[in-house]
Amino acid sequence: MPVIDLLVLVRGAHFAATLWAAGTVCFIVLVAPPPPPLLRRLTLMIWAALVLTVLTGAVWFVLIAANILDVPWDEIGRDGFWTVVSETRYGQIAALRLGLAVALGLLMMAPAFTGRRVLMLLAAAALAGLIALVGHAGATPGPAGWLHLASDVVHILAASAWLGGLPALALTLGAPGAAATTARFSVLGMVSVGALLASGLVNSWQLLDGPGDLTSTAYGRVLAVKIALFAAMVALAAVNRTRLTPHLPAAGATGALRRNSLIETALGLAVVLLAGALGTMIPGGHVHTNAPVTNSEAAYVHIHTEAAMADVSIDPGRAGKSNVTIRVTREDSGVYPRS
Amino acid sequence: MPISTAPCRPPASVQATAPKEVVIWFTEALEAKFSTIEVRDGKGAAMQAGAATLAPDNTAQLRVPLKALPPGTYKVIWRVLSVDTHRSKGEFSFKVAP
Repeated sequence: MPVIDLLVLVRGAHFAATLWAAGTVCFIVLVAPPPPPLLRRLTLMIWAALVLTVLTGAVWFVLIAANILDVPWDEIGRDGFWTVVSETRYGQIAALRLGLAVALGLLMMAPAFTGRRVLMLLAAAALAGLIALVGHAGATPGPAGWLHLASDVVHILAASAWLGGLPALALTLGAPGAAATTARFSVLGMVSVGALLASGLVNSWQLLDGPGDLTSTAYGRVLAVKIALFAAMVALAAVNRTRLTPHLPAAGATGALRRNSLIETALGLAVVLLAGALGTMIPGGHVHTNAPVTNSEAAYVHIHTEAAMADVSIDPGRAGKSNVTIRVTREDSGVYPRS
Repeated sequence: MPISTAPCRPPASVQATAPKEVVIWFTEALEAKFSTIEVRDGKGAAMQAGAATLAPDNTAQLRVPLKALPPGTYKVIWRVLSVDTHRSKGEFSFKVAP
């Protein structure tokens, strides 16, 4: 299905552009207020990332709107456009994020005033973090949904701060004060890796039925590759921190660090493209069968009352020694009795 | 994907009394505007009495009221859009015993 492939690609590109924009803003505000010539180049970088974010976001919106309305993309029309914006969460979040991208652009053009950088950081963080609301995390119902959503927001913000800031770091290396800048980015990177690990575990716990899903389901296998690439990035970052950063600003260390930052950026791009794919796939925890019978020899009956449901299976379902399993749940498959 | 339905899906889908509504619990929160449940009798006539709505306290639960159902076999066809933009559809049937 070519449309799905395009959707995966566009989602990935949009996530990458958003992380890049947010990460570069974060780099300027939190890591290093660089000397003016460098600041101009970093500002240009934010503009490039922001334009890419808006363009890929527009294509993503068109693909999703066509899918929701079940029409070809060139037949969405003004009414269809407004229906998606006003009637779906995806449309509302897309409009809000477009507003945030414009606000970030205006803040960058505005003359300096107190708090401008903090506002830029907030706008960039919201631009990235709001993506969580239109992914799997945003769709999880009940109290678990709030935990999943909070965890996914942390995941996106940490990825922005670290992965999104890598191109800015590569640009900064070689400039005056690069050693101090790299040391500060390294601290931000370590905090981000910790946050990515913790939130990644929470997200996996929410979406997978168990570790076995990592090999037995398509979603799990893509996630396993994503985790492996993440591990490679962390290993590279550890080399940077322990072997190269202490030798800055020696030319050899600067060159090696720049090369490693670009390799990390490439790995990070692959990770983000996989994240774009995962959002379009069905995780193991969302696949439910009506009858929990795996053995064709088993007898099964489902009892449904207003108070609770029970799945009773007798395996094997014939005379002789059998195992009986009774699974009691509420109507919404929650724990019974209600805790 | 539905977690659970009322009336139940087969194999335990024979109802002693006619249900007054169909309720389906899903794994993800849904978009009300783009989520529907149709209930058809053996001749294909629509037996739902209005549009499907989301429960106020659970946006992953879609329900539709039913007309009075005489004994017979009914097909439930659901089409939903989750808030993370996934569309899915499915159907199941239940019987109202004479």
